[in-house]
Amino acid sequence: MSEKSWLPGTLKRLYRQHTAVLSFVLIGVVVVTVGAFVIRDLRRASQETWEMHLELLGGLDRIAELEYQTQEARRSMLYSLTTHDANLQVQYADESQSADKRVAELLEEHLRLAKSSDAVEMGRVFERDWEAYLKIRDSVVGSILEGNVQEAVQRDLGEGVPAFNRIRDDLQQIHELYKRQSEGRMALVRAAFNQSLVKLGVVLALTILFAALAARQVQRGQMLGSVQRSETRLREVIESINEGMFVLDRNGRLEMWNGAAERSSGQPRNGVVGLPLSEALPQLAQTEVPGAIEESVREGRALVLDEVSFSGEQAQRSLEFRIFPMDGGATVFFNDVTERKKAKEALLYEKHLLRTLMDNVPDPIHFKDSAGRFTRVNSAQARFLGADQPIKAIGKTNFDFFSSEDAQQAVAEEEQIMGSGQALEGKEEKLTWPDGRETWVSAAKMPLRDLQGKIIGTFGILHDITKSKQAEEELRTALQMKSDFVSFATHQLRTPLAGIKWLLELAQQEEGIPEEPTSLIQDARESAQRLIDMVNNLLDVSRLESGKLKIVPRETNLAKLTQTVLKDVSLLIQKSGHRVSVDVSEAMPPVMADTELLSQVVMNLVSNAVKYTPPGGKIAIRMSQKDGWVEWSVEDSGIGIPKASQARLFEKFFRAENVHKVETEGTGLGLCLVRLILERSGGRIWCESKENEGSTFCFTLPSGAVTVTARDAGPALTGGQPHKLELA
Amino acid sequence: MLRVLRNSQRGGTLTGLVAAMAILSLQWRLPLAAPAPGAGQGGQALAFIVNKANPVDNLSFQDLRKIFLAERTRWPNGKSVTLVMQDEGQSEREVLLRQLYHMTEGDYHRQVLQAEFTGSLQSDPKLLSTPQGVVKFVSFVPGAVGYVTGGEVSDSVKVIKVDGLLPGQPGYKFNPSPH
Repeated sequence: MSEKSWLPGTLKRLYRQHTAVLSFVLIGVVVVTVGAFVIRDLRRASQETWEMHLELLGGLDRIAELEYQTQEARRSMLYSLTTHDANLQVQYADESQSADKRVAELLEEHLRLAKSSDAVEMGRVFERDWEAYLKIRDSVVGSILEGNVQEAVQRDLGEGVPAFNRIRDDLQQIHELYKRQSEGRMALVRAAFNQSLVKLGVVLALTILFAALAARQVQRGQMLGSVQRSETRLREVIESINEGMFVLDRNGRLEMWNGAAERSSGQPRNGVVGLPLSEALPQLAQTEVPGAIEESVREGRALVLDEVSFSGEQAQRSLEFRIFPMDGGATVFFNDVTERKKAKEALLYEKHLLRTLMDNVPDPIHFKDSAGRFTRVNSAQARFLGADQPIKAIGKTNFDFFSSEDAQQAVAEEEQIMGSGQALEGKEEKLTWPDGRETWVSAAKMPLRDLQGKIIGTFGILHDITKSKQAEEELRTALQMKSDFVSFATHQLRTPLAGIKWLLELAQQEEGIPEEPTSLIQDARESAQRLIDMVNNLLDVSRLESGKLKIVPRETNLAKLTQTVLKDVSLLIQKSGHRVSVDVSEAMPPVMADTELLSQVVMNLVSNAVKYTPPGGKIAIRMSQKDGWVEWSVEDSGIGIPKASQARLFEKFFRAENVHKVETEGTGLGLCLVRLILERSGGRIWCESKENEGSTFCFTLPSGAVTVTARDAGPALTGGQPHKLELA
Repeated sequence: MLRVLRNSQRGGTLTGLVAAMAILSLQWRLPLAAPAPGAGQGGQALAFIVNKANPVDNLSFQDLRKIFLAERTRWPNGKSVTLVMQDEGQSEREVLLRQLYHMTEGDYHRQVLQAEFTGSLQSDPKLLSTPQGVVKFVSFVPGAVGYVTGGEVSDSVKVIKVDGLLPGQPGYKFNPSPH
């Protein structure tokens, strides 16, 4: 492409892009150019004014001096009349003549500098008149010097005075001429100045005009750019929205068809734009949409069609139409609401489910706001509150239904729930009605959050447990009666049993009793002992359960206590061939427990480990402390405990299924007693076991104030290794 | 020469001065140029001066004496003669009394009184104190005649010849005596 063909286009584009700059450059050029001319004119006028001023001043000075010198010449001449002294007369005459010379010089200067012919002519007239006067003056002076005063006076009055008056007139005329010339020049200067002002005004007007044009052009450019940007942004928005949109002109033809409409309908833009609606979208033409568009345009108001159903190729579709009249046409937004409709239906179903649940669940359910007012309750809650309809409970609080103590308690709980965000579950509460009735409920109360997760109240489910509470109370009474009976029975059994045992021991000590009866007595004595042990255990359990057994906690050296127990059972250990190890961590503190009862605990656990471990097994006892607690454990390689039995291991009279493998005797009270002692002492016990592999029984107790070392456990435990000891 | 000086004042003092000097030097070199009246040896001679308007250029010694003795009171053009004398005691006045009047100062006074009585003296001789005053007086009064030494003469007046001789010329009766 030749340069000529693209150059004008480039210039046009440059002009469009830089209209403001070019306009202001143009304004600048015009202003500078015309301003330069105006300044030149003003300078010229100023120069002329200044020259005129100087000329006028010079001229007026000359005229003034001419007047002075002429008068001086005359004055000197007249002085000579006043004396007869020839010397003075000569001096005055000489002074008069000197003034003549100065007049001649000034006149010559005037003729040389005068600009106008009038001034020159006036100068010539003055020169002529002056010379005429001088002749008269010289004649008068001659007469004076000759002594002919009378003649001199007559001559001066007759000729000199008129001649001098002419001189004065001449100077006056020259003076007037200078003034006129000055006024004329001033008029010229003023005209030039006015002309400059006019030019300046024209420049200003042109500047304002160009500036206005430039501003208008800039404004138009900005507006055009703004409109273009807005249009572009609008098109982008229209194209980016997920809603289908089309615009109908006043003739009912499609003007615009956005991308979402393309995607939704499958109709490309160039296939529908420009066509009537019925041709462009025949499916739509069969619906109520064309009628709605017509109505919207006719009445000039927006219309919404919530659901317009279409039978698509695969499934039924529902569209929502929003119609806005515009310039005789309409802008129509449409949106596929099939999924929304499904969601709406699902939501309705969910609401239905919730309503069904609320109306049919037998447990009271309620929702409360942050002020503790019921906002929603189900029928069960309404009944629970004594209202015949749920609506009658709305807006009320617990204070409207319960005693103020119960209501206050409920408020405190709800504030705690809202403050912590933690649910309150399984709380059993006794509610007292104004008429004195009492109702027990198991309450589950939870914080109620809005969609943003902010806690706005609480909701709860109540379960009326009054009947079960009553049953539980009855059961507790029965158990107490049973416990009291057992305690009573065992206590009553102990004395005769101790007597039987004592009698059997006496009988056994008798001499001369045959071997067989002796053996029977021995068996009887052992049986009596087991019975006493059982009765003691039962009694202990009973006392512990009823709280009658007094526990005296004191600082107890658990390691030392363990050592003592191990000594007691050392014979049994040796007989079974077990290897027993004791591991005590350094700096073991004492525990706070009843020493006697704690010995019973350790004895039970160690004895169990020995009994339920096949001969030659391993038993490991460990003691450690952590965070104010002492942990004691005994691990054996015994028969273990079946998993099914582990949960009930610490129940009263419970015996694991596999205990009969190694021992048939046992009451099932030992571990129960251990649990009760430890629980009453502030500790707890648990068991980890695998059948046929072994068991580990652990308990914890709060530690005492004084820390003891493993060395304090005594030489039997410390031996060569202060922390670890094995017994075989 | 005066015109030259005036012209020189138009163009500037320096230019005029240079021009005047050039002309002076030219006049000094040109032998044909007339010496200034009363200049040179005539500078001390007594020169008789009249107004430039006076047509008389030459007077005989006798006519000159008659004018100063007021025996002739009018010039040939009809203008009355005005005598200009210098004050008593001036050397020029003494030379004039001795060589023109052949009188002493007393004789002169008597002569003047006699002339006044006889009416031949129409106006008293004008007495001036300085030679410059004499020159100026003569320049102002058309019928005046006075005397000054040649060095005091300016071009505002005219030096008249006496017996055809200018001051300083050999034979001029009022040249200063050698002694």
